[in-house]
Amino acid sequence: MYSITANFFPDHKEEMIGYIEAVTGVGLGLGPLLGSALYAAGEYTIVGGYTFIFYSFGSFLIVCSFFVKSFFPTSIENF
Amino acid sequence: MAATKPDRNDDKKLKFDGLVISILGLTALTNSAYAIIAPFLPFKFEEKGIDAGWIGYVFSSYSIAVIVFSPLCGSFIKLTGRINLIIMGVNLMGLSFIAFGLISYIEDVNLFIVLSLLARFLQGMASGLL
Repeated sequence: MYSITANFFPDHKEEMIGYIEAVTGVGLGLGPLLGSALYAAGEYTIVGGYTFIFYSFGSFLIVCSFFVKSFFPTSIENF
Repeated sequence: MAATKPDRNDDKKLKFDGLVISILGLTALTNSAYAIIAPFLPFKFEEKGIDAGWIGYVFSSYSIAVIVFSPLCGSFIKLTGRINLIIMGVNLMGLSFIAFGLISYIEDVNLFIVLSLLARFLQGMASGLL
């Protein structure tokens, strides 16, 4: 992530690293919130519970990885 | 910074296009993967009757993997290229999450501990690659 940022945004390095740090904090804050909400929801509905969290999150990450190639321009490889 | 690049164009603003949004979104997603199991993993360990001390080991095996694999990431880039390394990292993290879900069906306590340490280590490895 940081290597892409440093190479692909040479004019906005400092700005982008600041945003990435901010978003890291967002992720670390949202994770437990989402986890506890889904775990608590598992007692009443199908959507939730221990294994559902792992399956949904894992498959969501794998689906995301298919879109990475289309969002990231191929010229990144040239840097 | 300004002294090293005197011809920098200060008028140009950072545009929030698809690339920037996807970098930021991916960072948020993979960092929430670190913390998402924190609220409910202790309950599962209690349910299985495992000593609470193992929760700490399971959590820190992620960080150990990050410590080991983040410095190696630079040399991996020369082999695979940046995009492929990110795709590999995201895929590996998703697979280790699914593996962590499958592990919970195991009845044997010792095997459960070892495999969850391993799955968490794989997650950290993926996070180190990103």
